[in-house]
Amino acid sequence: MNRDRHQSLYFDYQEYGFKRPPELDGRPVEHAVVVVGAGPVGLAAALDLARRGIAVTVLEKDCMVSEGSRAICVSRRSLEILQGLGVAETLNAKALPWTSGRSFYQGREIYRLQMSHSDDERYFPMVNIQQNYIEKFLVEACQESPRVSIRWRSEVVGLRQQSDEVQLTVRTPEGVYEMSAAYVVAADGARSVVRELTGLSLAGESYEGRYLIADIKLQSEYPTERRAWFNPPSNPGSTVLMHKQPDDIWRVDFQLIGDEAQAEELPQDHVCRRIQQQLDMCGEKGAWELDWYSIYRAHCLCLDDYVHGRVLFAGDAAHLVPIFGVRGLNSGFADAGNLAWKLAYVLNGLSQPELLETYTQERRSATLEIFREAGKSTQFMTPQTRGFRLLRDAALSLALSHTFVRELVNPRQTQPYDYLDSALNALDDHNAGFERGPRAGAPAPNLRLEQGGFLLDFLGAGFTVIVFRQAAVPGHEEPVVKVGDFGGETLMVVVVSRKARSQQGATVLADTDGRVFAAYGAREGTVYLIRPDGHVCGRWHEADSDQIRAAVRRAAMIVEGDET
Amino acid sequence: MTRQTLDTASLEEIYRLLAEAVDRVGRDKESLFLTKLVMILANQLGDVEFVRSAIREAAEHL
Repeated sequence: MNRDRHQSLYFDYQEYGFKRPPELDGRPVEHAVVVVGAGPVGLAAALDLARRGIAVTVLEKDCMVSEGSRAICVSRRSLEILQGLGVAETLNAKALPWTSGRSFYQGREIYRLQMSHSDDERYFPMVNIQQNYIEKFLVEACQESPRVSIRWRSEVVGLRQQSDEVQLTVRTPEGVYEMSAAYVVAADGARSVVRELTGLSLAGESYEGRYLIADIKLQSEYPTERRAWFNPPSNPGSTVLMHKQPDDIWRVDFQLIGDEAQAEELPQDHVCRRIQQQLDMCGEKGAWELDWYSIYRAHCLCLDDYVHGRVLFAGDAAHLVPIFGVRGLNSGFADAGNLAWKLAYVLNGLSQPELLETYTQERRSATLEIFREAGKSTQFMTPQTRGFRLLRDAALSLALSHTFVRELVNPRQTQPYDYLDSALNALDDHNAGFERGPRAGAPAPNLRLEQGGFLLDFLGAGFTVIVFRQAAVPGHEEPVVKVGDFGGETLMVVVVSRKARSQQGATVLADTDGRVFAAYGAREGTVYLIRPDGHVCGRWHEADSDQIRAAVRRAAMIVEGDET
Repeated sequence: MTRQTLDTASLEEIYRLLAEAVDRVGRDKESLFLTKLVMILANQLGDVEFVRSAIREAAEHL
């Protein structure tokens, strides 16, 4: 790297100090969860565990947030996850929202990307923000949380699994110490040390695709949208992507071919020449300055199992996905949201430890789906054989005058993954009998409410039952569900009513125009059961309390005899 | 301009089948293979005027 990160053109890198932990003075501490890695995925997991009552210690070998903009596109689903952690508002205030994109070939637009968005949505389908800001906001939230402590300049150098705990050896500027934790979350990135120490390795394909990703400071009136150029004069035979970020920072991604793709490092003057060619091509005449650049390699690699004894892998430590479609960080946030509630329920004694196995089942399926989707994008953006190159070029050329090839050019941006085959989904629900609404396994869609706020704002941190009623019935009098406790966890009931007035003793949401009813394919008596991570795990046209309670027991793998 | 007859999944399937076939026949035989394929499809289509306009359109933006 040519530029020291203290000299960033837009970001003030703050150094976080090392604080001497009690273990260094021979005072062992019992840790429930140790998260390795203070990247966005580790910090999100820590905050999500903390809000569920679990104390978390985060170990980070560095003393700052990560260098450069790195992952810059945050999806609507990720914002929903971050909302639960209290970070979405801060992040949104800084980020640049966008809904559209353009692809160019031979100087002409061949595809217009339009992501679905309406006034009913709380969040834009995508926002752009540098990863260093994302991490900074997460660090600040951790500092405010009484249950999260981050140990900076603390590097894991040893790991031993016992039947009831994990022992870690940690190296610090003031010496080496041992610590033990009931569970470890390994979120220490693509070159995960924890993965290495546990003797695991990633399996799959490693594409040869390599990219130069560069940030420049440039004042431009061009709106925030994704732009892609195929075979442009600025990168003949290859592709270029551009994205706008906050603080007048622009990301330029070049796919590298030929000699450039073989180079381990690219000199800064070479990078600047390439950027100038691209700016000349897209008509940007303003002065600019290089802030940061890096070489990125595309991969389709993941662990066979994301849970190894008492170690749970998340984000890049568990899977490396291609750059196209912005699925890297977004799938990492989904990992954090998936594992946090499960680990908290197990640690709180509510759920059987087997619940953690469903973390692998659900999130590894999501990774394999990413490989399928992003693999198609990669094959289109960077064809690996003559045949695929020929077909790609034919599709681009046809796209200039024929609409029938349009979908072949679609950049396939990230979509939330539905856990359709999850072992946690209800067995006896009426999932197939619904014409609309989220399927069992899908995230519950958010919607603007008549009374103000949005549907997801009213869901509980644990399991939530949404009951749809033509008339208002207070939640505590709902015949469908007697509000029950599951080992200390209260099942929350939300009633969506076509004729609602807010009432004492229950959360009743008015839906007089029927928009929520329609979005959920609901009729009188419809019931949705929502998991703590916002995914639907069952839906019924009508259900009694026994069915709902059985579905919760299944979805949380409730420890037998603990229901009160 | 041709009308859309294929859904996205079918289009993707044809894309993949053609790419793999081109890779299989090899560079030397690629043009011969593709020309034969067009003649088979044209015969099945049975519409000279359509083939004439398709030839014209395919020659654009090369």
